[in-house]
Amino acid sequence: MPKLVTIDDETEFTNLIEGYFTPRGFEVFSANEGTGGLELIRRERPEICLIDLKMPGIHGDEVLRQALEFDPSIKCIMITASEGGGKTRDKLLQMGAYKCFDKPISSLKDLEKAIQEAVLL
Amino acid sequence: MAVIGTLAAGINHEICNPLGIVRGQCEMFLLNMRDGFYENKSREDLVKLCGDIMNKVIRETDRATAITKKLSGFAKPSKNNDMEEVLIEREVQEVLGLLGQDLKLNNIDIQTDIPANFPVFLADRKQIEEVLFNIIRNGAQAIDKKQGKILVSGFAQNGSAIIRIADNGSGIPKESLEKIFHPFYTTKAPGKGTGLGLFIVKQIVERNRGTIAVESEVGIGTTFTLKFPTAVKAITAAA
Repeated sequence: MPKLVTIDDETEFTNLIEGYFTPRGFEVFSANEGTGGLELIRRERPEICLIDLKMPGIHGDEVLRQALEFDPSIKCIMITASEGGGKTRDKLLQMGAYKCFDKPISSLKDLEKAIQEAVLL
Repeated sequence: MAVIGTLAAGINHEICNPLGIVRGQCEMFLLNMRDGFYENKSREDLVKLCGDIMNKVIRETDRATAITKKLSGFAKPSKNNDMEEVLIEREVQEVLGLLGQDLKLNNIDIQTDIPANFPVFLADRKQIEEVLFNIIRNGAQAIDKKQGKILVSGFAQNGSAIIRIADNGSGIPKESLEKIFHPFYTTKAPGKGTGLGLFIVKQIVERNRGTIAVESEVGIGTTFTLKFPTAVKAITAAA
């Protein structure tokens, strides 16, 4: 069963991810801030991480950096608000993010497609 | 421009996120239904699930609505004919009438020290009430002591009417102090504050030709100082 860690300060968002991906065969772990998220990554060694960029405390880009430093094979999908435009996205992809999705997620189906593809890689 | 950028980013975060949750909850339900994940659920379970989703939709739309309401109120231009002579003691009492019960329940002692000859100033009265309401309520929320105190005082100085609102709350750390007037900046727990209150307060004060300053010490309390030019044709509160 693939493991998915979702890190977002919006509890409703992490609940949504759990509610959607658990019945679809994923083991989902949630954290609502970066430090707790990194602990989960180190403990659970997930295949996939969904990381919100804008969070109180450690920001998503630092979580991405430390997650990939711990295990470069983790596929990190960054959830970004669009205000940073292409620059933010380019920077995150350069840092090693697998994909970036705009927040709010416009389609769970599209997110699922990206995650299923990442699991198969 | 920095304020507009921060405001736009905040709107995106604070309004789009709840809308994203609403959409996501509905989409999840429909896709789970399509993919047969609810086939083994009883009617009661499905009704409960739908109820949970509806409650989330209501909560998140309320959250987005509250922010748009605040912003639309803020965007409403002030008309010159809304400017009138403000008797600060009266406005403070109006606000305490609204907040008094809450303050009492939270064991907060509120005192006023505004002299009878405190000068009047020209401003939009309702907006000044909003300013006082926000600062006093924030002060009350910051009080973590058993014996909370808020003092609203006023004095005249060099042609200005100065109002001070001091609380003995938890205080604001130096690194947060410079950000408290930024839009969507909040030190409250997620969902507890929009981060728009003090941003709007500052805009209102400046729109009414005033200034606002804040001093704070962690563990001791916070003091907001409002300063407005006194009305040329001065009358006194006692008159």
